[in-house]
Amino acid sequence: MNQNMITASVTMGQLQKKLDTISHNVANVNTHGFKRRDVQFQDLLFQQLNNQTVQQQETGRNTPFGLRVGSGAKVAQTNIRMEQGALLQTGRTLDVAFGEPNFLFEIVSLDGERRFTREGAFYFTPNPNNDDEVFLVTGKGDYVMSETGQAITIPAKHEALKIEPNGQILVTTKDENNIDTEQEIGRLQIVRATKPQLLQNIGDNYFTFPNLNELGLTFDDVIENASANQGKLIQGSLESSNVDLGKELSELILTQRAYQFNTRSISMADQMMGLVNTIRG
Amino acid sequence: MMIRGFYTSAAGMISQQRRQEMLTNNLANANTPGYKADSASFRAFPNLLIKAIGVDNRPLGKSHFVGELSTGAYLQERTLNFRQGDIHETGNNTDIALLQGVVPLNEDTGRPGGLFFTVENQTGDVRYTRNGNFTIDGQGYLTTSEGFYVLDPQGTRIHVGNEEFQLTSEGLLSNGVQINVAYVQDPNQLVKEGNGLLRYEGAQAVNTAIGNPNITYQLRQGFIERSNVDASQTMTDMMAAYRSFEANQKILQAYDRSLEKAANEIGRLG
Repeated sequence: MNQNMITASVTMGQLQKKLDTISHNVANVNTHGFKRRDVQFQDLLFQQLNNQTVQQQETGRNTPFGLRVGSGAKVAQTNIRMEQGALLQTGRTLDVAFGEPNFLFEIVSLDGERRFTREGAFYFTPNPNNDDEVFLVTGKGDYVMSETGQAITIPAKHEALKIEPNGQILVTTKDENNIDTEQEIGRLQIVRATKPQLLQNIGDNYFTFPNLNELGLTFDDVIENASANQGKLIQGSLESSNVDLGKELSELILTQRAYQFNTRSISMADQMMGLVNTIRG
Repeated sequence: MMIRGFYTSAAGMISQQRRQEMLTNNLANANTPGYKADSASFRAFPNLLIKAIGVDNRPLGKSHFVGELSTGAYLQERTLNFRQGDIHETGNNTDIALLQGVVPLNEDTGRPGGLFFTVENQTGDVRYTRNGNFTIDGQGYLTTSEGFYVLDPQGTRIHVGNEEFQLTSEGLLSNGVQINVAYVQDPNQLVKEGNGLLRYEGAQAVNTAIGNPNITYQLRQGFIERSNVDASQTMTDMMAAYRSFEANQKILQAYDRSLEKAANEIGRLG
């Protein structure tokens, strides 16, 4: 095939990937705790073409001998952007938002794979084995992990529930004398991603890490447990998506135009091949 | 030799085709950070001196040399345009834009030198790049998106740990490590390899610009240098190359019609 067509069609395929990422960002503009991704390009391999083999005749050259023929562009990396999203006040007891970037809640794993989320919209679900207790779960129904690695259980009949900025959960219950007592029932497991570019989106607003053994890493290299004064949890609020619609749409226009430019390259290459075919018209 | 112009116009078509390949690749890289556009230089094939033979009774004082004949052109070289690309804010801590300031003129070429990041590729060789879309690898080293190590002036890899590092406009990291800015005196000796890398093929040594009082530059963290391809200019050039290709094809057809006449009509009886 014609080199022009290869270059342009390969690049269009890669531009499509950028359009896909932009669409995903825009689709999640209202997803709480969503972190956008940013696509950057890179040029593809260059091929050395020695079109003039008699180098003595190549007088007046400024560059090394031969031509370097490129083959288009590809997506270099899709960076996750961890910057803080705007806080949205909901007033709901079980909504908690991080006030600082890079912190994540951990979810109790059922299959051994550690999962994390930035979305702090929690719910209660009854404990089938104990009517006096409820579990704290995410919107999808997965158990939120406590500092000790267990699911968080909360007395079903409580008067108030308070989540401190460091993740401590304080529950107020009435004792037999009808007097309110406040007790700490645990602390949310909060981690800070030190290498956020390794986070993988697995849907349902969850993140996971790739196989760290293959990369020669351990979990200690990529996350650290939040200390007592970190995280800055805010109860009664949710973090909105950090997608900037204006920015995404300008990128969309730019990418679409780049796509169109490459289609024009293909149609020109096609017309040139047509001209070759009609030399002997 | 039948008709000399036949191959001349074919050479014209081939060289416009090569130019179109180059422009297509420029256009494809209109969104590639730090990409430097190629520009084409054509060169005529060596001229022939045409001499008339069998003209012994030529007029007095007239030479039997008819004159020079050029037999077409070819795309001799693709020169990189090292003009600064636009600076675009990404807010990403691992994006670093290199802004070239005052750089001394090269005595041989009369053109300014170029400033580049130095990186180490997979075979351990030094390569140059203006693509500052970096990242951090698993071990905490600053690398390109392909995982090639960014180097300091001594040629050692740069350990930053995580993304929360700060960079001064001189290229000094918060842990005291300096990002190298290489000064290439004749940037025309840089050859594109792909993956944003440039290979140096010149004879003169490449020195560091760090601490050189004649060179000014700025490193901007959270910014990226965009491609310096001008899409509308490239599209215009592509249209011109297309029409030039078409014109050469028309001439080829004209020669073909002459040949047709020679083959079928000369010497026809009746």
